[in-house]
Amino acid sequence: MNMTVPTVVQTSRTIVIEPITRIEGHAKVTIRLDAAGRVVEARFHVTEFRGFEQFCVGRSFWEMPGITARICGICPVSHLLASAKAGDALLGVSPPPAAHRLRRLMNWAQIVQSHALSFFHLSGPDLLLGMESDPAQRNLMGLIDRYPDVAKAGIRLRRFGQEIIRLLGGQSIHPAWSVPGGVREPLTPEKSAIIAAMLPEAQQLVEMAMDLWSERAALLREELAGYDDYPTYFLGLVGPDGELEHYDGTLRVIDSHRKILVDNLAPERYESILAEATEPWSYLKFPYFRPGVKEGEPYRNGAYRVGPLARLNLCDRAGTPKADAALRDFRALAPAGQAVTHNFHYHFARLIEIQYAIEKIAETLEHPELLDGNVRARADVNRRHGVGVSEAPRGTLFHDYQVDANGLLTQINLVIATGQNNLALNRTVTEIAAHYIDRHQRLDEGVLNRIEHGIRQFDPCLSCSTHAIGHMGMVVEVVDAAGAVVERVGR
Amino acid sequence: MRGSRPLLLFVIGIGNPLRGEDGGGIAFARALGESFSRRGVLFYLQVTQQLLPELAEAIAIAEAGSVIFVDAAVHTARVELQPVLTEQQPGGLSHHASAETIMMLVNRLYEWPAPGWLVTVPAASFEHGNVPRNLPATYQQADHWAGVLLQLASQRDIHLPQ
Repeated sequence: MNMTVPTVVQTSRTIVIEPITRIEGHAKVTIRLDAAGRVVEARFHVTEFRGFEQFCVGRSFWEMPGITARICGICPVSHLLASAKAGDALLGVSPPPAAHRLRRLMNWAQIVQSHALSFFHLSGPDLLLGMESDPAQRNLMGLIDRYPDVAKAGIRLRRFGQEIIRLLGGQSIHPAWSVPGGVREPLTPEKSAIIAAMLPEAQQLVEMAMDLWSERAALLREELAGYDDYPTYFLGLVGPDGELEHYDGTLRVIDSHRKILVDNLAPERYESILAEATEPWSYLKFPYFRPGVKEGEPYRNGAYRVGPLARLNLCDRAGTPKADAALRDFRALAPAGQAVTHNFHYHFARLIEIQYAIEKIAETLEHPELLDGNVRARADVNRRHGVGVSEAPRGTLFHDYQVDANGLLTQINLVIATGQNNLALNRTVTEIAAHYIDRHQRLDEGVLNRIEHGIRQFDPCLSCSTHAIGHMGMVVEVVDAAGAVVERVGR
Repeated sequence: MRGSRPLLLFVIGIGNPLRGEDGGGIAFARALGESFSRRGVLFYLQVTQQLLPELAEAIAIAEAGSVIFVDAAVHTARVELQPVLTEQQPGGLSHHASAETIMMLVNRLYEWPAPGWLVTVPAASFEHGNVPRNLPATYQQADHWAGVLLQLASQRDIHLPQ
């Protein structure tokens, strides 16, 4: 499908942008104006549908890592790990130490490759070419023409992560390597040496990205003020000492003042604090923080964010030298003791996580347990309910399985990272639209790209969130204030 | 002006081998490879479930003479071959890429002048399961299409550095 410059259809009441470009999956934005031309509401519609939760019922939980990894080609490792951990719980086993370290290694590698592509290629055109630049050039081709070294750097850093995944799992996409009980294969000294040899270049590339960010962030100050900066709760995993964590740990929730509201919650008890709402105009669910909503209040009062911005707000420290230094710069973006709430800083948070992951990979390669050949604990089904949680690049991922005595799935619930940012995504779109349309009376290509960029800050994976494949045709609908379709264009 | 080194055909089979005929692109790519092998043609076969941006770097490093993408699709009733055009706006880049984007990266970012071809094979069923062993007549045409691709590759006027 060609991702052409988005179609923009405007009536006096409603503006529709479709398709949103440079994100994964299919979505559109509808902006509703009142009679005076002020933004009433903006909605981020997800137009895909999947249904993994349904068609996996009846299958063996042993198959689930391989099946759920195929929910999406972007973050298969995340699903692989969360599913395997759910399987660990069903078996009632703890994988051997080497298996834990290897799973972590793969998780960090995925974070590097996913964040690298998001920063360099998906958001790079906005950050480097400018929000007001010609849309025909504000894309990868434009980036290549003007900043070829940046384009290459993104690919090299992504390749670093993908190569580690391939060395561990045998293939970089959907590696069938992490299984209930551990992993299939240990790491050989030869492969460990290959990974170690790639580290210096990876470090050089993340430093290049950090320099690029420092330079561009200063020039984009308008983007940092006035909108898209709002309080929410933040949720994610932290380590036993409150350190940054992507694979294990416990759940923590804070508010925008960094006040800890939930701490040391076992991940399998996530349902005690999270609930999900649905809306008829989107296939994406709306998870919310249940304790944040008083009786009678709208569920959107429980909006929370996950992912890089949340993880850095939640943790007490990163735990590696260079990442901790960058984390101090991150903390300085907000008043002392407060959370960083502006979504623009998702970009910086991703870079810090890349830095952290590279340092942790280097550290882990030195650990004597890493090459141990005992990488799998074996058992049969010992529990009927198992929950696996890990931090995907986009945020916390939950796989919740219930099985019968034979290990066949009777119920599945997947709470996907991007879906947990859904309420925040919708607020971002509304705020950006209101800022430019209400205050500045502007509705031009630059504003439309800012709205799209606002969504890209979250690096959403819509294929994942709706557990979808979907290749629905793109349709632009113009809807008046009364809800009647005025015009319809398809491709 | 062609260099004296033999051309390498970079063959990329795309699909999910656990989703029925979605693995047909991979099966056909392997069949093309077998035909190239019988003809003594130098080729490299890459199997992938989706196109990744880093493939472009690999193609340039390999100094491929031609790049052949092979994919299964529902919109075709027979094997089809078309050039991968990069002159127009390519299909964008997300965490996976299109053939046009890969070739745009090869030609513009890595400045390697190889052409790209897309071979599309028909598919109808994408249920969970392996590609059927009894391949339909489609895949038995691989030898014919290998010959067509070799002819196209030999007709391209590519200047290759020594």
